[in-house]
Amino acid sequence: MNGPEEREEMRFESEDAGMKEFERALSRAMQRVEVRAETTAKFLALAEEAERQRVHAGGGFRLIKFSNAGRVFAMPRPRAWMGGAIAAVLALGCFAGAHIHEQHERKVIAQQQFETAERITDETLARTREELEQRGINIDQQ
Amino acid sequence: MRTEAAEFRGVVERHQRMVFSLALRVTGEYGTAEEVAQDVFLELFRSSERLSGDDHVRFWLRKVTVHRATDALRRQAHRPESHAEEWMDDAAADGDGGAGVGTVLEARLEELLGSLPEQMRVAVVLRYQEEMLPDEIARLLGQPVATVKSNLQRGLKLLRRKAEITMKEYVR
Repeated sequence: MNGPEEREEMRFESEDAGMKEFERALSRAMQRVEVRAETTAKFLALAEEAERQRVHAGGGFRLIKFSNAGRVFAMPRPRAWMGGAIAAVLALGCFAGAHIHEQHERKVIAQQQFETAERITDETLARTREELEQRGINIDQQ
Repeated sequence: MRTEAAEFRGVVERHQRMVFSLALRVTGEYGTAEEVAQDVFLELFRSSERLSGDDHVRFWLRKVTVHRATDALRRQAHRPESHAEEWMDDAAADGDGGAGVGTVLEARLEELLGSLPEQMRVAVVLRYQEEMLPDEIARLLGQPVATVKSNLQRGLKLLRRKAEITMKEYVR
Protein backbone atom coordinates (compact mmCIF):
# COMPACT_ATOMS: atom_id res chain seq x y z
CA MET A 1 0.00 0.00 0.00
CA ASN A 2 1.84 3.04 -1.18
CA GLY A 3 0.72 6.29 0.24
CA PRO A 4 0.92 9.39 -1.90
CA GLU A 5 4.15 10.34 -0.12
CA GLU A 6 5.80 7.54 -2.02
CA ARG A 7 3.83 8.15 -5.21
CA GLU A 8 5.33 6.48 -8.19
CA GLU A 9 3.77 6.33 -11.61
CA MET A 10 0.46 4.65 -10.90
CA ARG A 11 -0.55 1.75 -13.10
CA PHE A 12 -3.91 1.99 -14.79
CA GLU A 13 -5.67 -1.14 -15.88
CA SER A 14 -7.97 0.40 -18.46
CA GLU A 15 -7.22 -0.62 -22.00
CA ASP A 16 -9.17 2.29 -23.44
CA ALA A 17 -6.71 5.14 -24.00
CA GLY A 18 -9.32 7.78 -23.23
CA MET A 19 -10.21 6.10 -19.94
CA LYS A 20 -6.54 5.75 -19.07
CA GLU A 21 -6.07 9.47 -19.62
CA PHE A 22 -9.12 10.15 -17.48
CA GLU A 23 -7.69 7.93 -14.75
CA ARG A 24 -4.45 9.94 -14.85
CA ALA A 25 -6.39 13.19 -14.46
CA LEU A 26 -8.36 11.69 -11.60
CA SER A 27 -5.23 10.46 -9.89
CA ARG A 28 -3.67 13.93 -10.15
CA ALA A 29 -6.87 15.51 -8.85
CA MET A 30 -7.06 13.18 -5.91
CA GLN A 31 -3.84 13.95 -4.17
CA ARG A 32 -4.18 14.25 -0.45
CA VAL A 33 -5.26 17.73 0.52
CA GLU A 34 -3.22 19.94 2.79
CA VAL A 35 -4.72 20.22 6.24
CA ARG A 36 -5.34 23.76 7.42
CA ALA A 37 -3.08 24.89 10.22
CA GLU A 38 -6.02 25.39 12.60
CA THR A 39 -7.27 21.87 11.85
CA THR A 40 -3.85 20.42 12.67
CA ALA A 41 -3.86 22.48 15.87
CA LYS A 42 -7.25 20.96 16.77
CA PHE A 43 -5.95 17.42 16.26
CA LEU A 44 -2.86 18.10 18.35
CA ALA A 45 -4.84 19.85 21.07
CA LEU A 46 -7.13 16.84 21.18
CA ALA A 47 -4.15 14.54 21.63
CA GLU A 48 -2.69 16.72 24.37
CA GLU A 49 -6.00 17.03 26.17
CA ALA A 50 -6.54 13.28 25.92
CA GLU A 51 -3.07 12.61 27.28
CA ARG A 52 -3.54 15.16 30.08
CA GLN A 53 -6.83 13.54 31.05
CA ARG A 54 -5.28 10.09 30.93
CA VAL A 55 -2.36 11.11 33.14
CA HIS A 56 -4.63 13.04 35.49
CA ALA A 57 -6.94 10.06 35.81
CA GLY A 58 -4.03 7.71 36.40
CA GLY A 59 -5.17 5.59 33.50
CA GLY A 60 -8.32 4.76 35.42
CA PHE A 61 -10.59 6.68 33.12
CA ARG A 62 -11.60 6.30 29.55
CA LEU A 63 -11.79 9.31 27.32
CA ILE A 64 -15.00 10.58 25.85
CA LYS A 65 -15.26 13.27 23.19
CA PHE A 66 -18.48 15.18 22.83
CA SER A 67 -18.88 15.96 19.17
CA ASN A 68 -20.17 19.51 19.45
CA ALA A 69 -17.68 20.92 21.85
CA GLY A 70 -14.75 18.86 20.63
CA ARG A 71 -13.55 18.57 24.21
CA VAL A 72 -12.39 15.44 25.93
CA PHE A 73 -13.82 14.19 29.19
CA ALA A 74 -12.76 11.35 31.42
CA MET A 75 -15.16 8.60 32.41
CA PRO A 76 -14.30 5.79 34.85
CA ARG A 77 -12.64 2.90 33.04
CA PRO A 78 -14.12 -0.51 33.98
CA ARG A 79 -11.99 -2.33 36.57
CA ALA A 80 -12.01 -5.96 37.66
CA TRP A 81 -13.26 -5.12 41.14
CA MET A 82 -16.14 -3.12 39.67
CA GLY A 83 -17.75 -6.39 38.55
CA GLY A 84 -17.67 -7.72 42.13
CA ALA A 85 -19.00 -4.46 43.49
CA ILE A 86 -21.86 -4.42 40.98
CA ALA A 87 -22.65 -8.07 41.79
CA ALA A 88 -22.67 -7.27 45.54
CA VAL A 89 -24.98 -4.29 45.02
CA LEU A 90 -27.29 -6.42 42.88
CA ALA A 91 -27.29 -9.21 45.52
CA LEU A 92 -28.04 -6.67 48.26
CA GLY A 93 -30.78 -5.22 46.10
CA CYS A 94 -32.27 -8.67 45.53
CA PHE A 95 -32.13 -9.42 49.27
CA ALA A 96 -33.74 -6.09 50.17
CA GLY A 97 -36.33 -6.63 47.45
CA ALA A 98 -37.15 -10.11 48.77
CA HIS A 99 -37.42 -8.74 52.30
CA ILE A 100 -39.77 -5.96 51.24
CA HIS A 101 -41.81 -8.43 49.22
CA GLU A 102 -42.09 -10.77 52.20
CA GLN A 103 -43.22 -7.93 54.49
CA HIS A 104 -45.82 -6.92 51.93
CA GLU A 105 -47.10 -10.50 51.70
CA ARG A 106 -47.41 -10.70 55.48
CA LYS A 107 -49.28 -7.43 55.56
CA VAL A 108 -51.71 -8.66 52.89
CA ILE A 109 -52.28 -11.95 54.77
CA ALA A 110 -52.85 -10.09 58.08
CA GLN A 111 -55.30 -7.78 56.36
CA GLN A 112 -57.15 -10.75 54.87
CA GLN A 113 -57.25 -12.48 58.27
CA PHE A 114 -58.59 -9.33 59.91
CA GLU A 115 -61.29 -8.94 57.25
CA THR A 116 -62.28 -12.60 57.62
CA ALA A 117 -62.52 -12.25 61.42
CA GLU A 118 -64.55 -9.07 61.03
CA ARG A 119 -66.91 -10.77 58.59
CA ILE A 120 -67.39 -13.81 60.92
CA THR A 121 -68.05 -11.50 63.88
CA ASP A 122 -70.60 -9.50 61.86
CA GLU A 123 -72.35 -12.68 60.72
CA THR A 124 -72.42 -14.10 64.26
CA LEU A 125 -73.81 -10.86 65.64
CA ALA A 126 -76.47 -10.75 62.93
CA ARG A 127 -77.46 -14.34 63.59
CA THR A 128 -77.66 -13.75 67.36
CA ARG A 129 -79.78 -10.63 66.79
CA GLU A 130 -82.08 -12.62 64.55
CA GLU A 131 -82.50 -15.42 67.15
CA LEU A 132 -83.19 -12.94 69.92
CA GLU A 133 -85.74 -11.12 67.80
CA GLN A 134 -87.47 -14.45 67.16
CA ARG A 135 -87.78 -14.77 70.94
CA GLY A 136 -89.22 -11.27 71.16
CA ILE A 137 -86.10 -9.58 72.46
CA ASN A 138 -84.94 -6.47 70.68
CA ILE A 139 -81.31 -5.65 71.54
CA ASP A 140 -81.45 -2.18 70.10
CA GLN A 141 -84.31 -1.17 72.43
CA GLN A 142 -82.55 -2.35 75.56
CA MET B 1 2.49 0.11 21.68
CA ARG B 2 1.76 2.73 24.31
CA THR B 3 1.41 6.01 22.51
CA GLU B 4 2.62 8.83 24.66
CA ALA B 5 1.66 12.39 23.81
CA ALA B 6 4.79 13.12 21.79
CA GLU B 7 4.60 9.85 19.91
CA PHE B 8 0.93 10.34 19.31
CA ARG B 9 1.63 13.83 18.00
CA GLY B 10 4.05 12.27 15.54
CA VAL B 11 1.41 9.80 14.37
CA VAL B 12 -1.09 12.62 13.91
CA GLU B 13 1.40 14.71 11.96
CA ARG B 14 2.36 11.76 9.75
CA HIS B 15 -1.15 10.62 8.95
CA GLN B 16 -3.41 13.65 9.26
CA ARG B 17 -3.40 14.40 5.51
CA MET B 18 -4.42 10.84 4.71
CA VAL B 19 -7.14 10.69 7.37
CA PHE B 20 -8.48 14.14 6.65
CA SER B 21 -8.43 13.73 2.85
CA LEU B 22 -10.25 10.40 3.06
CA ALA B 23 -12.85 11.86 5.40
CA LEU B 24 -13.25 14.96 3.26
CA ARG B 25 -13.68 13.10 -0.02
CA VAL B 26 -16.14 10.62 1.44
CA THR B 27 -18.25 13.13 3.38
CA GLY B 28 -17.84 16.10 1.04
CA GLU B 29 -17.93 18.56 3.94
CA TYR B 30 -14.98 20.21 5.63
CA GLY B 31 -16.51 20.46 9.10
CA THR B 32 -17.77 16.89 9.05
CA ALA B 33 -14.37 15.71 7.84
CA GLU B 34 -12.72 17.55 10.72
CA GLU B 35 -15.09 15.87 13.18
CA VAL B 36 -14.50 12.46 11.64
CA ALA B 37 -10.72 12.93 11.73
CA GLN B 38 -10.84 14.03 15.37
CA ASP B 39 -12.91 10.99 16.29
CA VAL B 40 -10.53 8.72 14.42
CA PHE B 41 -7.45 10.13 16.15
CA LEU B 42 -9.12 9.94 19.53
CA GLU B 43 -10.02 6.33 18.87
CA LEU B 44 -6.44 5.71 17.77
CA PHE B 45 -5.29 7.17 21.07
CA ARG B 46 -7.55 4.77 22.93
CA SER B 47 -6.60 1.79 20.77
CA SER B 48 -2.90 2.47 20.49
CA GLU B 49 -2.00 -0.33 22.90
CA ARG B 50 -3.40 -2.84 20.42
CA LEU B 51 -1.67 -1.38 17.36
CA SER B 52 1.85 -2.22 16.37
CA GLY B 53 3.90 -0.91 13.48
CA ASP B 54 3.27 1.89 11.05
CA ASP B 55 1.63 -0.35 8.42
CA HIS B 56 -0.82 -1.60 11.00
CA VAL B 57 -1.55 1.97 12.12
CA ARG B 58 -2.06 3.11 8.50
CA PHE B 59 -4.36 0.18 7.71
CA TRP B 60 -6.32 0.81 10.91
CA LEU B 61 -6.59 4.55 10.22
CA ARG B 62 -7.85 4.01 6.67
CA LYS B 63 -10.39 1.43 7.79
CA VAL B 64 -11.75 3.41 10.72
CA THR B 65 -11.79 6.66 8.74
CA VAL B 66 -13.79 5.10 5.90
CA HIS B 67 -16.27 3.59 8.35
CA ARG B 68 -16.65 6.78 10.35
CA ALA B 69 -16.94 8.90 7.23
CA THR B 70 -19.59 6.68 5.66
CA ASP B 71 -21.51 6.69 8.95
CA ALA B 72 -21.35 10.50 8.95
CA LEU B 73 -22.47 10.56 5.33
CA ARG B 74 -25.51 8.42 6.15
CA ARG B 75 -26.41 10.66 9.06
CA GLN B 76 -26.53 13.68 6.81
CA ALA B 77 -30.15 14.28 5.90
CA HIS B 78 -29.29 15.93 2.63
CA ARG B 79 -26.89 14.99 -0.07
CA PRO B 80 -23.52 16.50 0.82
CA GLU B 81 -22.79 19.70 -0.93
CA SER B 82 -19.33 19.61 -2.25
CA HIS B 83 -17.09 22.45 -1.28
CA ALA B 84 -14.29 21.22 -3.47
CA GLU B 85 -13.34 24.59 -4.87
CA GLU B 86 -13.28 26.13 -1.42
CA TRP B 87 -10.94 23.60 0.10
CA MET B 88 -8.85 23.16 -3.01
CA ASP B 89 -8.26 26.92 -2.94
CA ASP B 90 -7.38 26.72 0.75
CA ALA B 91 -4.98 23.89 0.10
CA ALA B 92 -3.30 25.88 -2.64
CA ALA B 93 -3.14 28.96 -0.44
CA ASP B 94 -1.64 26.96 2.42
CA GLY B 95 1.49 26.18 0.57
CA ASP B 96 2.85 23.69 -1.88
CA GLY B 97 -0.51 22.09 -2.71
CA GLY B 98 1.21 19.76 -5.15
CA ALA B 99 1.35 19.78 -8.90
CA GLY B 100 -1.96 20.44 -10.52
CA VAL B 101 -3.91 20.91 -7.28
CA GLY B 102 -6.25 23.87 -7.49
CA THR B 103 -6.87 23.60 -11.19
CA VAL B 104 -10.40 23.89 -12.44
CA LEU B 105 -10.34 20.35 -13.84
CA GLU B 106 -9.36 18.86 -10.54
CA ALA B 107 -11.85 20.92 -8.58
CA ARG B 108 -14.57 19.79 -10.98
CA LEU B 109 -13.57 16.17 -10.54
CA GLU B 110 -13.72 16.62 -6.79
CA GLU B 111 -17.22 18.04 -7.13
CA LEU B 112 -18.32 15.20 -9.37
CA LEU B 113 -16.84 12.67 -6.96
CA GLY B 114 -19.31 13.93 -4.37
CA SER B 115 -22.17 12.95 -6.64
CA LEU B 116 -21.15 9.28 -6.82
CA PRO B 117 -23.05 6.70 -4.76
CA GLU B 118 -21.32 5.93 -1.44
CA GLN B 119 -19.76 2.55 -2.26
CA MET B 120 -18.41 3.72 -5.61
CA ARG B 121 -17.08 6.91 -4.07
CA VAL B 122 -15.24 5.03 -1.32
CA ALA B 123 -13.70 2.63 -3.81
CA VAL B 124 -12.62 5.45 -6.13
CA VAL B 125 -11.12 7.48 -3.29
CA LEU B 126 -9.15 4.52 -1.97
CA ARG B 127 -7.97 3.62 -5.47
CA TYR B 128 -6.98 7.06 -6.75
CA GLN B 129 -6.16 8.97 -3.59
CA GLU B 130 -4.55 6.17 -1.61
CA GLU B 131 -3.36 4.26 -4.69
CA MET B 132 -4.57 1.02 -3.20
CA LEU B 133 -5.05 -2.04 -5.38
CA PRO B 134 -8.51 -3.62 -5.62
CA ASP B 135 -7.54 -6.57 -3.40
CA GLU B 136 -6.17 -4.19 -0.75
CA ILE B 137 -9.39 -2.19 -0.89
CA ALA B 138 -11.38 -5.41 -0.61
CA ARG B 139 -9.43 -6.41 2.51
CA LEU B 140 -9.90 -2.97 4.04
CA LEU B 141 -13.63 -2.85 3.37
CA GLY B 142 -14.26 -6.53 4.03
CA GLN B 143 -15.83 -6.93 0.59
CA PRO B 144 -15.21 -9.43 -2.22
CA VAL B 145 -12.61 -8.25 -4.74
CA ALA B 146 -15.20 -8.60 -7.52
CA THR B 147 -17.48 -6.14 -5.73
CA VAL B 148 -14.67 -3.64 -5.36
CA LYS B 149 -13.68 -3.99 -9.01
CA SER B 150 -17.27 -3.56 -10.09
CA ASN B 151 -17.69 -0.45 -7.92
CA LEU B 152 -14.46 0.99 -9.28
CA GLN B 153 -15.38 0.32 -12.87
CA ARG B 154 -18.90 1.67 -12.55
CA GLY B 155 -17.76 4.63 -10.49
CA LEU B 156 -15.09 5.51 -13.02
CA LYS B 157 -17.48 5.25 -15.95
CA LEU B 158 -20.10 7.32 -14.18
CA LEU B 159 -17.56 9.94 -13.20
CA ARG B 160 -16.21 10.15 -16.72
CA ARG B 161 -19.67 10.43 -18.22
CA LYS B 162 -20.56 13.23 -15.82
CA ALA B 163 -17.24 14.91 -16.50
CA GLU B 164 -17.81 14.75 -20.26
CA ILE B 165 -21.23 16.28 -19.91
CA THR B 166 -20.31 19.05 -17.49
CA MET B 167 -16.86 20.03 -18.69
CA LYS B 168 -16.38 19.11 -22.28
CA GLU B 169 -13.67 21.67 -22.64
CA TYR B 170 -11.42 19.81 -20.20
CA VAL B 171 -11.94 16.17 -21.08
CA ARG B 172 -11.25 14.62 -24.41
